[in-house]
Amino acid sequence: LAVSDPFDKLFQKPSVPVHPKVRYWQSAWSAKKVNGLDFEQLRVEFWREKPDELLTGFGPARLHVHFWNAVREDVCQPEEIDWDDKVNDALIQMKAAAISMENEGERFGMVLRGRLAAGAVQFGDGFFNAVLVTYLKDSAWAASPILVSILAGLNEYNPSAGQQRQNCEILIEAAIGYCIDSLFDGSSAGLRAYTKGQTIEIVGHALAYYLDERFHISSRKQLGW
Amino acid sequence: MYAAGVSDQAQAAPPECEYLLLVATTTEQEELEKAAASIKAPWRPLGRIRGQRCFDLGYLGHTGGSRVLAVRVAMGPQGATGSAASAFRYPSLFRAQGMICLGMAFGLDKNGQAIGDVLVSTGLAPYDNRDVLCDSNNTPCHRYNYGRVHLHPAQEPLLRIFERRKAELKEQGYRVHLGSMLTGASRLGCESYRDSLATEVWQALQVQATKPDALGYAKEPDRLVGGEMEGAGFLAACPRDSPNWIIVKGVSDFADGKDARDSKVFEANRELACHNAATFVLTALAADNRLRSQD
Repeated sequence: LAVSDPFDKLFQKPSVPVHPKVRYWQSAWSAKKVNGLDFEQLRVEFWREKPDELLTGFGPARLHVHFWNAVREDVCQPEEIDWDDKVNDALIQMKAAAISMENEGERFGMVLRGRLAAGAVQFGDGFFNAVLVTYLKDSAWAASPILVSILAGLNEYNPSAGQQRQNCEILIEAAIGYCIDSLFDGSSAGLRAYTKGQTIEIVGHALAYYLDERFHISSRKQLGW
Repeated sequence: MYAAGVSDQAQAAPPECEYLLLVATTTEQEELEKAAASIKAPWRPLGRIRGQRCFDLGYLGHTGGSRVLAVRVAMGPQGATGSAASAFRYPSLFRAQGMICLGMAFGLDKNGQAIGDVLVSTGLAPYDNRDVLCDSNNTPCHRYNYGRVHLHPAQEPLLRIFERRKAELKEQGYRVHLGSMLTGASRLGCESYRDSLATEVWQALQVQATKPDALGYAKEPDRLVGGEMEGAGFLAACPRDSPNWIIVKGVSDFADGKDARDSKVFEANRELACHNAATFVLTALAADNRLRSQD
């Protein structure tokens, strides 16, 4: 008789709490049926009021989950949920793409916001801003059409070289890398089916969206600057 | 670019900062200036920007950290220059990542708190969001239902900075209390009203804490440590899930109307409260900048 190893239990994959709506979408997606109706594609629509719609600042973010048939029509009412990084990660795992490339860019702008939040805490807002802007200006992203004018308007001091700066750059690269990895792996369908060119365009849009909020670019315009 | 006494600098590009300090009264502004001098931080008046007086405190701790500006707002959340309107305008105008509201507050615990102690808000409970109802006996009395009061969390990175500073402090002559704070436009000066307000809001917050979120988490509110006025305005300016503010205020009274009877004592208490809060904030930001500059 085999003696069970008391450590086995500790090596089992821990059960992670999943949002009830994610559980529902997962089961609908695996059956390709929602409310008894067949659907072909699971799509996400990111929705958030921008500063030009509000007095200043961005509104709360929401996700709408669409169940599309083959001709991209909703087979039922889209599901709506407040933005939650974990819920969006689960939708990324399910390869649920956004309804358009522009919308994908904004959605991944929120992904960057969540993934870079730790950077501001760890390195301080001032240092983090300086490293972020310097890093982007020195990178291939500086040539991205959507980022050119944004980066030109950001004036941060040049952060001193050292381990702190390196660590901060690693964190920034990891966040951008997560976006690229989520969007592009040569798949033929779903979220990861974007081409390299489309991925660069979406991540450029995501960075622009993130910088807009972090540096109050649209909000400042609303105030006359 | 900006000079003291210039009426408005509408055409010049506004300065930029990481942290924006808000003060509402002359005492709060003067004590902030004194606190800046005590840590040898600059204090450069920038004149009026968008109608309100602004000040530049430079990079605290070391050059290349986080730059700090201050703006003078009207007392309370209301009005064109109150904290609500200011919280819409100035963080965007100055590209600030966080707002710190300085000044004076009332304490709730005369036994555990002293005049001059510093209160740091982990969250704000806007008590004006209440139902005013007839007394159940149909007498001419009324009662309040605070069931709509929700706790709004403060910005976490700022909270961490002040938590670290609290842990570092030893003999500074005042204590630092972290917790939830009441906020509203009323100037409170009645012991029985203060106690019933604090008790009923606390009960409402505890009831809400028993309602778990979608993942089953229920968060106990941090104990109420005091109350103030300007914070209510910040809640209008940013979504509840991404706050850009924190309140750090010294205890100037206990909202019982007793200290106000002696104007000299009252003014001295206010100065002490404002000075301690300003000193705590500036030294915390400076220490945080130094910490992060270490490789």
